[in-house]
Amino acid sequence: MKMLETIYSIMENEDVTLQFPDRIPKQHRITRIKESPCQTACPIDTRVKTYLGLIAAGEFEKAIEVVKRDNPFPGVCGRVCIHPCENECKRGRVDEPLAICYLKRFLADYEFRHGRVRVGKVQRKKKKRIAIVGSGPAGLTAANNLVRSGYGITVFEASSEPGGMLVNGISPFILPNDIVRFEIEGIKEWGVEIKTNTRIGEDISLEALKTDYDAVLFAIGAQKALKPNIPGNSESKGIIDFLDFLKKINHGEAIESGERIAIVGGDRASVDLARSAVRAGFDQATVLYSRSRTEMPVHEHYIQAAEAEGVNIFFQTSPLKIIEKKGRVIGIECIKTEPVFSQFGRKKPALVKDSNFTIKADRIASTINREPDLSSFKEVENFRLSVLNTFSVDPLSLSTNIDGIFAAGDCATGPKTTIEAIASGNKAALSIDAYLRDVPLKHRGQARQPVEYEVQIEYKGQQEQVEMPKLPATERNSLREVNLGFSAEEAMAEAKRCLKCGPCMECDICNSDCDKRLALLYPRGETTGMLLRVQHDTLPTIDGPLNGQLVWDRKNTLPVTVQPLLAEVITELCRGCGDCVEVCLYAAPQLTMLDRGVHISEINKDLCRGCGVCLSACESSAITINYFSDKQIEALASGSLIENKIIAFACNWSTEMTADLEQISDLKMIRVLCSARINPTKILKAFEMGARGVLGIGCYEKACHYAAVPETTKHYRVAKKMMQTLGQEPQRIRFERLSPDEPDRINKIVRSFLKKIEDLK
Amino acid sequence: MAQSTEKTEVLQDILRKRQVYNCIECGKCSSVCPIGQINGAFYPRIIMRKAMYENPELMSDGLLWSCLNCGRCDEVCDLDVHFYELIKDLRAACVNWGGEAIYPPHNGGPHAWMKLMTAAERKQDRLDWINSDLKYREQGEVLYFVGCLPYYDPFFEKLKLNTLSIARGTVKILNNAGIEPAIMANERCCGHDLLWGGDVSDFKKLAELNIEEIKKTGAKTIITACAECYHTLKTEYPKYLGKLDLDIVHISEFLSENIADMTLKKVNKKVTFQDPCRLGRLSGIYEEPRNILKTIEGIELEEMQNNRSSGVCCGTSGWLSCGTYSKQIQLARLKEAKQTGAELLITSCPKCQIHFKCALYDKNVKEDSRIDIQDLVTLVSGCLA
Repeated sequence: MKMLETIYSIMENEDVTLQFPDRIPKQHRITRIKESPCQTACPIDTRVKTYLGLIAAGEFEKAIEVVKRDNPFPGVCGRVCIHPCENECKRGRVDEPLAICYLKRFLADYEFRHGRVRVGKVQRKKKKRIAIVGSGPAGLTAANNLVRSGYGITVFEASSEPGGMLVNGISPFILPNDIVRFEIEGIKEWGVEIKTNTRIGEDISLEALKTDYDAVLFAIGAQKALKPNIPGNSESKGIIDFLDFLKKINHGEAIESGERIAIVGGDRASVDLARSAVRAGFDQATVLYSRSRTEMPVHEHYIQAAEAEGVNIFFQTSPLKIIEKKGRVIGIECIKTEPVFSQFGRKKPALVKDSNFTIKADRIASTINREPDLSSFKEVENFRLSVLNTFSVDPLSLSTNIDGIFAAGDCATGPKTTIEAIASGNKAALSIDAYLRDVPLKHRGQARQPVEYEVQIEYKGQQEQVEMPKLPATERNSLREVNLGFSAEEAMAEAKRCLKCGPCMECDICNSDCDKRLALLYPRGETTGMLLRVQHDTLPTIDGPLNGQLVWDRKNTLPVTVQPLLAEVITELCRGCGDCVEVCLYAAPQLTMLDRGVHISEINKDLCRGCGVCLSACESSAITINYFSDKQIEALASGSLIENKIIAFACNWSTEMTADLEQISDLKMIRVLCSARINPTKILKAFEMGARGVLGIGCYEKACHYAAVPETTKHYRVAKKMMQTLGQEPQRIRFERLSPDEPDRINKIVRSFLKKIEDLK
Repeated sequence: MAQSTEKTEVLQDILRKRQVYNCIECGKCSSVCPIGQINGAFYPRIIMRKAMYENPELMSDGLLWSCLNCGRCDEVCDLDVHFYELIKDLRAACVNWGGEAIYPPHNGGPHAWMKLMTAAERKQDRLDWINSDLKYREQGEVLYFVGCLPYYDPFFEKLKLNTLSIARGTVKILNNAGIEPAIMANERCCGHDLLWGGDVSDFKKLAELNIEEIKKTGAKTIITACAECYHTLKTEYPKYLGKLDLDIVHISEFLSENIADMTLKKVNKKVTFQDPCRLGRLSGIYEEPRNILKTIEGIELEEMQNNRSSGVCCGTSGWLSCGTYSKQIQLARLKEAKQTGAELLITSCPKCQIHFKCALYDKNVKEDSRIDIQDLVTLVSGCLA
């Protein structure tokens, strides 16, 4: 396991504790972060509050510098980003959130009109060279960072124009190609070479890249659309590859336009595809979505824009069968659905009997699935691929199983949004840089989930968002951009609505965020505390409280006391039964006799490992683990159940073998030090909160650091029996032990478990 | 501000309804409180004080959840303060305002399964305890309400409870008396623990589902072997669902009437009896279990010093609080039982049995508190000829 240094951030008044701590290196870098909810929500940690303030002050160029520090594509993001920042904007609680996305677009338009603002500079040139395969947002963002670190960068692009999904998959009336070209030019101006019409495997071999370059980054995206999973002849003429279709429209190529197109899927891609089809000459474009309008993961104004252009969106409609005649598609049989609350509290679309109807169509497309196109190079066999047919990568370093080859963006994560691809590119750049300089990777942490803040909002009076000027409705039947952009006055007025939230990050973040390995640090003699992110995965040392030094900005040093996770007995709740003593491998709990003849357990802090096995064995709930209590585990679970995921409780020691699983979007991975921490009550509560299934993953008997395999087995057995008596299928609970000689087994197990749960619905 | 006035009004209503203002702070209640004798911080009088003077602050006080609702204080109060009903109402208000029990034992496991039962579509699989020699039906005039026994045995695996022997024993007794009881395949928890824990809405859901299931069986008489189910079905269901056209009978009542007609073997045992709080003080049934014990040949009944209306609670109520004080109450009561010279402690509520057995699970408990525990039903069904 790679030794990773820890990165710290400043916080208020908190004591220090480490979750899953390790031998602490003596020197650490600290980055001061003052964050507001919009910044926390952003996958690339954009300093939103800062640039909004600069816009409000009229300092547009300085604002552009702030944006372009981490993002070379402000014009792209300002048009297509899903803007999680706006969802978290506290102004939304007063009237409407800030139009952060449109404001970023304003800055990009400003740069486009007034001339490029160069942010950063190229450091001393290095001898090493990096090959990047794919010129989409992930690859080019990585290129943008690495070229400024001094490396020689060559980007290989299979098609004739760089940009990937930006030029192929998003229509020009949303994202004009000249904006993309302008921003790509900006990256090339640093000295990045882009070789188009060069496909890996055909025009250049992977071997050649490995020889000529010191590192290779795959960023080829997920540009192979999969066939729609609907009964009917999938070879019929008329079932179109939606990506190919979009590419042709976007390049102004002639397409075989028909009269009617039916699109299955409920995401932005399907709505945009419908709008593109209307512009390409289709008489009718219909979108089928199995759930309701409010559940569709597309903002209301996009839906309205599409409907205004004549797109029909059928909600609560599921495709049943493709109808064909003489080998050509003539329609799609559909059925209405209605939301039904299943036994486990989840809303699922249930088919409404006898509500079948047919939509006539001569073209059918599905935007639901796409995966990386790995067809062109044979060496793909040497790579470890994940269950989604993407490159299986280490979640921290983005390295594939082949040394020196990395993967970022959709081809590593599966289809995700543009901003996530940019974040992935940034991450890959840091990792490749560390790899080439042969230094430990300084990890800045994963993209964070937005968290609840208590923010005092003074009543400032209602003022809704400044309205985005749009192309008149009659002019929209073209590929011209529909949104026209703010003027400077409009931008400043909108930016002034910002409430300037933050700066505090309460320690409650790490309480509910503890799978991010957060810890708190309290420097000796200081009243200001700090938040740590610790990536180490071994036991606390036996020396008890640990001492370390913190180095801040390479100048300031603070001596600190650090404490590991520890179990603690709430004395009034302890019944002295001694079960904790029995299960603990490290003999940390000890029974002491009180007067009145009763015993109370006490945990020896020097011996305790914080694993929580005693906690789960204590029937009186008398044991708690500081900074990783049961309530925190419940909060982690309940947060993900809103998204209807399967819960997997995985032990910390299985990280290497279960790293891939973090990428499966249907799974919420909750890491605990030992799987025996999960007792039947936690599993019952997970189902009570609406879980569809619970998977436990732990070590095999000899490997368990806490000798707790019998405990875990018992917990899951009892939970299964309880849920079975409650009338639930026993297959919804499973516990698997990992075996090091079969590293791929867990992937197969998880895949079959997820499939089983789907079938049980 | 507006909120706390509204809360204060709600509390005032509760205090008036439960006659708290009658209290003259004489302290009789506190002198009989089982917790008060061990944990100096908790006693009824302090709760009264806090209720009257501190009002809404009482809601976040852990003491609210420590009360066992055993009713000893109600029993001795000359001023007719309804103490345990007060606690029930205060907890309901607390939960209604977003609060919850502060340290529920077993991390709230039992409440989790009870809440899981509130889902109407749930189809439980809870009848595999019924042996082939036991006769039961899906519909019938007499219904046996089992309670949560199929859940207690697996959940408390390490206590090796076998509470399901109570269920089998009850059916055996009924069969012996010529009755094939109806048993519901989808019986829900009676809701006792949720109700006393302040979760009135989930209690109502369980109650409504139970009444619906009972109607399907066509039963007119419900027999139960659990004191809590008995009290809940008889007294609490009508309060929340309106008068039920059902006759609720505890197994001790049934046996008391019918035991004369039963043929029983001789059992040579000296026993003592633990009055369950919900059967004794809260429902007024004291003599029926004793009649039964006196009828069995060879059984010698020795009363504990605190018996009938002054019986002491088994130390835990509703899975809401437990800990070192509960343990001490249990050990003291077990010691009292042992001091009668009895070799067997008979209970008539599965909860009493679970809590006492949990106390004895501790290997360090001395001999002066160690006594075998058995349910009344198990004793009687064991001596059916």
